[in-house]
Amino acid sequence: MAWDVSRRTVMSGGAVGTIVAGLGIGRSALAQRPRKIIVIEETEVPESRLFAETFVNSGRAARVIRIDRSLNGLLHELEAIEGVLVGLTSDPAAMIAEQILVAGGARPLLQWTHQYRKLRWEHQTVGAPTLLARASVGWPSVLAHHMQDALVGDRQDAEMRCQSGHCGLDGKSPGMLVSWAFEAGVQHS
Amino acid sequence: MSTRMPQGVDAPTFRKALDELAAIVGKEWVFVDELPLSTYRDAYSPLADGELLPSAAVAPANMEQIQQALKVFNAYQLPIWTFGNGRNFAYGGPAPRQSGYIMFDLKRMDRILEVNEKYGYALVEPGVSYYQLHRHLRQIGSKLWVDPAAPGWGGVMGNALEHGAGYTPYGDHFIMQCGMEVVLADGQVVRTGQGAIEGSPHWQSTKHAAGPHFDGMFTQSNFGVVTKMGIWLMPEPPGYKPFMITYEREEDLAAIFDAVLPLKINQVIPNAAVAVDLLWEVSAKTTRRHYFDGKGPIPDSIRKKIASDHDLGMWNFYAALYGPPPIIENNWKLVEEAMMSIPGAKLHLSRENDPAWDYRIQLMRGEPNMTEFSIMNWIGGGGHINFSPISAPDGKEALSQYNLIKQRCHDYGFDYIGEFLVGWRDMHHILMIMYDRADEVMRKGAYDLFAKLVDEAADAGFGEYRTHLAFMDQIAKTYKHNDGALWDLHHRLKDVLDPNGILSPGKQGIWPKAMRKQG
Repeated sequence: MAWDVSRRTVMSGGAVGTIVAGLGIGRSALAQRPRKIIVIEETEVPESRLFAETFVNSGRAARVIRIDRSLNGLLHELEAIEGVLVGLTSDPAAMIAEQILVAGGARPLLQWTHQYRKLRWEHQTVGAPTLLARASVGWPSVLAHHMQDALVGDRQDAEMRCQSGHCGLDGKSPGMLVSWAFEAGVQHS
Repeated sequence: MSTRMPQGVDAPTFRKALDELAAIVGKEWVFVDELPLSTYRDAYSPLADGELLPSAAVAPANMEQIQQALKVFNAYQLPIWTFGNGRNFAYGGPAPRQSGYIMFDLKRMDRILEVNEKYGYALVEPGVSYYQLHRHLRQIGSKLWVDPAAPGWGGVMGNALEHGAGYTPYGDHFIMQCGMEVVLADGQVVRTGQGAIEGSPHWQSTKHAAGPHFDGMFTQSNFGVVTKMGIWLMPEPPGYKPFMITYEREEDLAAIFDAVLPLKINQVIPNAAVAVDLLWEVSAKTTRRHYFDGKGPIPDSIRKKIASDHDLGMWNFYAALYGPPPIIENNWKLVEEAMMSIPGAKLHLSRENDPAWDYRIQLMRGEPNMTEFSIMNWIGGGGHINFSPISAPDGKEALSQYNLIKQRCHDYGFDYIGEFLVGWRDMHHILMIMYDRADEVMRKGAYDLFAKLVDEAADAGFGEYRTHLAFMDQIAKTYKHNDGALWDLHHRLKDVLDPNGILSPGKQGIWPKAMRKQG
């Protein structure tokens, strides 16, 4: 038995994105093996609803799991799940999903952040800065389309930051969101 | 070699130990890759990135595997950090006390060994969560309640061992603990209380036995690995009346606690009653950025607007009455008379579309939920750390503690976000210092504020009942009566029970001899 203890690197830290730090992992494997996409919608969050709706309308979502404000559904639904899971959720919901999915053996594919500051949305993503910057309040829809491309490998690898133009913040929005994707039910090599 | 190795162990030795551990628990239950190890980090730590990360994790399936693994840890003098199920990030979550420790993950030991409906208890292993026990009780048609910690994914055993609290009348979890099975560092198995009588059916019915009472020694400590624990469960009452009373002024806190104390001590209010400040209460339903985009604490004028918009008080007092309806009705008269006598008090017996009300009402009737995490949206970025001084439930003392801590929060540019819980004779003050984890200045400020509060609170006679990993040593040093005699005792016990210092070194500021200077 050989333990490759010397190959490890120290993880970066941070509230979110510590595992993938904005970059996709294993996208080529996913591209070769398209799987059903399950969308997690945090129903109370307007941006999350728009993101999920876009996935559904594009015909790419096999299923939508709706999570209410108790966040209980994350625990009930994500245990022993299989497929590619995507979501645009609040930071706590993203953290809980990450904890459950990774503990269950899921593989992170991407994790991006979206923060509302001084009347603008700031996006930290891989690719699509121009589209997101122009999108203003419709950005979750643009993000959903972009993520669909990213998940099949048709995207840039560079990490990008961009700002939207001036826009309002919905009263129900937490204003700090995370978009994420995991592949669950895979064996790690 | 990797930067993360157990202290003082070279790579070949570490690999050999991992091989031996894999032979005991199975290779698939020894983790060395970054991805599975990432689940043991403190996602919201006040420390700089990359601190407090394990070198590996080992997950035994049963007590025998624990005993065999301990032999390996002892042989190679490998420091381990025991983890059951808990992820309370306010205190460090599952993360180890120092980088390089091996996580000793007991999540595979998740059996509910017994539920006794007649006497109202369960016997559980370390990996059992509140959700799991709650679901199990409902599945078997039990009329017993769990008493969950605020996030329901926590562990029944771990929370009690950490002196955690819930919100039903069984809210002081360590008081409701009854009987333990513990594996000592040398592999010896000990059962406490009546569990030491062969075949006794009373292990979970009484805490008492001949000789000293050891259970407390295995809580917030590193003297053994607890593998089974009894927990008393509350029978579903025939009636339940939750309520919230809002109070308009910050200084009402003193009057609230003066009114609550006799109701608590006389068991009129039987549950862990809680006075929640405005910002904690409102953060489950809105965010700071919706009201104030500036730096520093929220101005009073905006706090008043928040209270008005959400029909809240500066303090929001939650409690519940339980029992047969005639008793509830009778006790309610006493509660109403005392608590509503404070000018401006407003009673709420139901609230529409209010997630904060919903989760409090669920918690007070023993239903686990995860809603409390949504308050992390208040700032965004998720960082939080709890400062938790304890004292007696006295109005003057509560107000003086509040004024001291609030002033320090403001000095460091933070909002005061807190709550006061009243137990049997105690008051837990929980200050939630929230910060954006990605904002380095804010994160450092939260750390500095916490460190300042520890010393100032101790100078005023207040000690913490529980703390984040990063402050365990500092808080241990505040317990300094007779030249720190209490921690001297902890260290003497540690040296005898765990001479190689393998079990959770530094837990609660208790270090093995070889690491004591460093600690």
